[in-house]
Parts: sequence; C-alpha cells; structure tokens
Amino acid sequence: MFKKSLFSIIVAIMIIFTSFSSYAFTTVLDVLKSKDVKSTSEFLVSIIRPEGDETISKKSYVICGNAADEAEDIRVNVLIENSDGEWEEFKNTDGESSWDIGASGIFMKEVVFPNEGINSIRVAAYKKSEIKDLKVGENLQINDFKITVLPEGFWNTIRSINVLKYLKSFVGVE
Amino acid sequence: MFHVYKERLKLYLLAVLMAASIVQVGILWSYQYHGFPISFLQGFLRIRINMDTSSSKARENYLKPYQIFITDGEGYNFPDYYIVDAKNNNYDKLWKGAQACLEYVLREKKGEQVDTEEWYDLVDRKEDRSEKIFSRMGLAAVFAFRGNIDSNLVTWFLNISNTLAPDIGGIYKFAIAPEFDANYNSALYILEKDFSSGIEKVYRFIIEHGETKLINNLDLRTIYKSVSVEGSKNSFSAAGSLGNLGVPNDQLIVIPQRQFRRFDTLVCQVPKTLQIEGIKTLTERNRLGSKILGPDADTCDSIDIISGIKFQNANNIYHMYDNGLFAYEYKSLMPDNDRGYIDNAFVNALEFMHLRIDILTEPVDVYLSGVEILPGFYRFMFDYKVDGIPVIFNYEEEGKEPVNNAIIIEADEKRVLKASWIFKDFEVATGEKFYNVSFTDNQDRLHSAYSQLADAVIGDLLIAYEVRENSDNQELHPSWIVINQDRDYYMVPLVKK
Repeated sequence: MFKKSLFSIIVAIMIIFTSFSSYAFTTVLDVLKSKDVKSTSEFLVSIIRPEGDETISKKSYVICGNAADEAEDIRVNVLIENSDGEWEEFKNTDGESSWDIGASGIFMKEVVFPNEGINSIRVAAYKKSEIKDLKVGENLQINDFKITVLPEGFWNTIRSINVLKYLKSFVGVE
Repeated sequence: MFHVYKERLKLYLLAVLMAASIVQVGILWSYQYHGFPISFLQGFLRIRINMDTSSSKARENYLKPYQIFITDGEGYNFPDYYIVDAKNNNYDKLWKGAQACLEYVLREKKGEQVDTEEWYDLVDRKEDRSEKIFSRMGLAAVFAFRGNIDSNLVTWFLNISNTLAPDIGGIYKFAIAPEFDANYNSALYILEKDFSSGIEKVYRFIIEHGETKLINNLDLRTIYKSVSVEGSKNSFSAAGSLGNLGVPNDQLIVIPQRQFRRFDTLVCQVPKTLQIEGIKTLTERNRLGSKILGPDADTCDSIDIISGIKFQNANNIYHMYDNGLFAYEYKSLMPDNDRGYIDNAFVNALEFMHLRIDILTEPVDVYLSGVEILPGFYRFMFDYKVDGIPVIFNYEEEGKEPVNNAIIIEADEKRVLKASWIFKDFEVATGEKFYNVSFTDNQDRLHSAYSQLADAVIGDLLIAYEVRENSDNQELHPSWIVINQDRDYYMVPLVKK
C-alpha cells in the first residue's frame, strides 16, 4: 500500500514538473508564433546571414549569427510562415528548430526552404534563464526575413542568353 | 735625476705589458683550438661541399605551399572548395605550373594594386555583396603559404632579376582565376599580409586571352574533377561566404555540425641518432656531436647539462636536449647591425640546414613557413608536414618564448646567428580514425578552453598535429589550432568519432 502511494506521488510530481516545462515552452512558442510581433533590434544575437531580405538561387541556405555576451545562455528558434499565414517551427537539416549557442557565440545552421518564391522566416533569440518572463524587444529578440528562392536553373538561363548575338541582330550585323 | 725617472717609467711600462701579455695568454688559452690548426680552411672548403644552395634547388625543397585549394565556383550552398594534397597525382604538376605563372607575371606584368575586397570577392564569392567586380563564375585555385614570404626572397627563388610588378612586400597567398572575365582573360592575384599590423594588400595581374598558355597548362578543370570525386565528404566553404565570422574570410571551414573526416595517427620520437639518454662517455658525446655539429664537431668541447649536452668552441655554442630540441648560438664579440641582403642570409640558413637535414627521415616534409625581417637579422621559419598535414610544436620553456616552429633560423648575410631545430621522426601508426572537423563544434570547444579568445583577432586557423615537449614516443592526433594576430597558439584536440 505504501509502495503504491509512493509511486503515485512520484508520478504526480513528475507530471507536475514536466507540465511546468511544457507550459513554459508552449508559452515561448505562442509568443514566437504571434502574428502581431514585429522585428526587434539584434540586441542578443547579431544575425550574420540573412543580412536582410535576400534573393537566392538555391533552396538550401545557411542561417548564421553571433552572440556577443553570455552566449551559452542563449537559445535560438527558427520559424517559417506556412501557406495559411501561420508561423510554424522550421527544422534545419539536423532536425532541430531550436538550439543553444556554444561558447564561441557563433551558430550556423543549414535549412532547406520548401518553396521557390518568397519564404518568410523568423529568427528568435532569448536567454534560457529568462524563459519564464519573455518580453519582445526587452529580453526576446525577434527578426523576420523574406528569402526569395529563384526558380531552379534561373542563372543558367540568364547565362545562356547570347547578348552578343542579339546586339548583332539589333544593329543588322551578321 | 731625469734619467732615473725615465728608467723607472720604462720599468712600470714593462711590468704592465708583461701583465697584459699574461692576461692575453689566459684569454687565448680559454679559447684554445683543440684540433689540427687548419680550421681556417674550413671556411673556404665548407662553402660548396655537397651543398647545393642554388635557388632552383631551394625552390624545389622548401618553397612549398602550406595549402592548395580549388573551386569551380559551384556548390550546394556556396562554392565548394577542395584541398589538393601532395598525394594527388597532379600536385607536382600543378605547383610547378603555378610557380611558372607567378614567375611570368612578376617578370613580365606591371599589374596593379586593387581593393583588398577583390581578393575576398574572388575566394568567398558571397552572393549578396553589392559590387561584383568580375563575373566570379568558374574556376579558381588558391596557393597559400603559412607566412608572408618576402618578395625579394620569392624573386630569388624564382630566379627573377628584374620585375615589372609594383612594389610588393611579400606573398602570403596567390590565386589563379582562369575565367576572370567575359573576354576570356585570366587573372593572377597576390595577397600580401603584414602579420604584426594585420594590414593586407592585394595585387592583380591580368593575363590576356592570347597569352594564357601557362594557365591552360595547369588544366585546373581536370584537377578539380580529380579532387571533387567524393563530393561533400571532403569539401570546404570559404568562411566569408557566410559573412564575418571573426576568422579570415578566405579561411576554409566545414559548416555542418558533427562532420567526421579521416586522419592518420602518428607516432613521433627523437631520431635514434640524437637520443642522449644513456650517453655518458666522451666518445659517445663526440659521436653525437659528429651527427649534429657539422664542421664544428672537431673543435667543440662538450659538457653535460640538465636534460642535455652543451657543445662549445670559440665562437659557437650548441645545445642538444633530450626532447629533440637542438639550439645554436653564435658568440659575437662585436654585434653587427647590418643584416645585408635577404637572399644571402637565406643561403646561410640553407647551409645550416643542409648539414643536418639528413637526420630527418620519411615521411616528414620540410617547408618554409615564414620570414620575418628584424633589426640586424632575418628570421626564417620552417615546419614539417606529414602526409600533407602540418605539424605544430608546443614547446614552452620557462622564461623563454614558446617554440612553435620546427626550425627557426636567425641569420644575416654573413652567418647564422641563432637557431633552434626540433628533430623528430614520424611514423604513421596503423589504423586511421575519424575526427569531427566542424567549425562551430571546434570553435565552441576552443572558446570553452580559452576564455581570452573572446577578444582575440584570429589570424589563422588550421588542423594540425600538435607535438608537446615533454613526451617522447608520443601518439599524435589532429588538433584544432587557432593563431591570433600576435602569433599566440591556442589548441584543442579534435574529437574522435
């Protein structure tokens, strides 16, 4: 009887503790997914890439940045806007949508954009020690970017255009 | 009366002269020569006995790039770079061809100094950089030395008497871009770097379409195909492709995390002929001296010191330590502040090396890794590579500058003034292993080990075998090594799979 009671108490404690963390995590994600949030300054992490809205020729892309202070306390999340206009977690090629920065302060993660055309991504950074009370712009950094992926073979098409031939035909020289 | 004073003065003078002569005899006694009285002949005879110090031989032996890397301008994320190592069948042909191109432009082309950004534009090919000076499509091969090699020394190596090139101080790296522009011109770029100030200069030489035979002979496309067979398993990216990561933008890095690549394990030890453990008798010491002292072997006295043996004659002091470190110093009574011409000083350094180079055995490869011009002398640094991977020494003697290079020779145009040489034999141990070469993983570990790195300006980054001073029969595994602008070394071992 005593053993059963002890077991029930332990299970209850475990459920409570795990609920706390999932509650906290859910709260963070809720904030990160909010449509009302605007980009902040890069006060926790300098985003090296993307430098701003970019146009690229390949679906594969490397997001990277650099944290100046207390790097090892900082966690980075990446989200992408889906076709319904909702933010969802965007997993990198290692299968993670959030990661902790190491002692060097540098992070670089490879992602593969799902679509050609415009891909809206959100990079968020916060200190793990302040996870329970995150406020956008104060201790939660959020930066939105639009990455336009050109159709495959775009540059090959451009390169294959024989400008000289067109010019010659334009001026009537064979 | 006057006569008596005169005689007494003579007596005093005679006494002083006698005392001086005794002192002089004492001085000469302490510097006495113990061999046959023909040492003055050695100065003449030594000059060219079995010693080819010609520029062509020196070029073949020591002017070797620390790294050659090549791209075709394409890649999964960024242009993929591949390292062309010495095992590649085309390596010798490529390096000889590159030297021919370098020689041609220095001899025949005026060239011009261009914005430093153009070098990084060529190497990292960052997609979103606003100013595209040239098409940045296609092939490029980069030839990197470990240090900035003084241009006077380069022209001596290449046997160039007159150069049309601008006033280039030295060559740290050079690159050949066969597909430089739409007019089928090629380009050769030279990067000069002053490591003390960090100042870089870039020079561009255009090789026009009609004169690209030397470039075509390199056949870079074939070489690229041969090194890129394994694709991303062996590829690198230029750090600057991503942006400013705090390392030189032309530094090759592996971006993904947990990327494991194959390295041999080495075993290193002091060459058997130089092992001083157990040497007790004069004969044994002389035998060692005959291996290491060159023509001074017959004239040096030897004494035991802590962890080594000291050899000495009138002008030269040699130390041989049990950790393989060999040190030399010229005892100069009159310091000479005139260092003279660098090529003459370099020949002196080569002669010093040639007397001892045969102690080293395969598979060690010696290359010139740096040149410093200092007041009164030149400092030449040489290092070892084993199977294409550099070896870095981490010898720290209390109260002395750490020794990180295998061979350091300080010389002026008259003689070698000071030298240190770490003699080691290397053997490839059985069983290769895989190690994590990811940039972020290793940088994180390095920063955890050295907090002072947070503010450091990184000058160089490499994967090399690290040899510490206090162990013999040492098993060597590759290490992640960062060298800051002040040439301080920071090292952590790579993590095994």
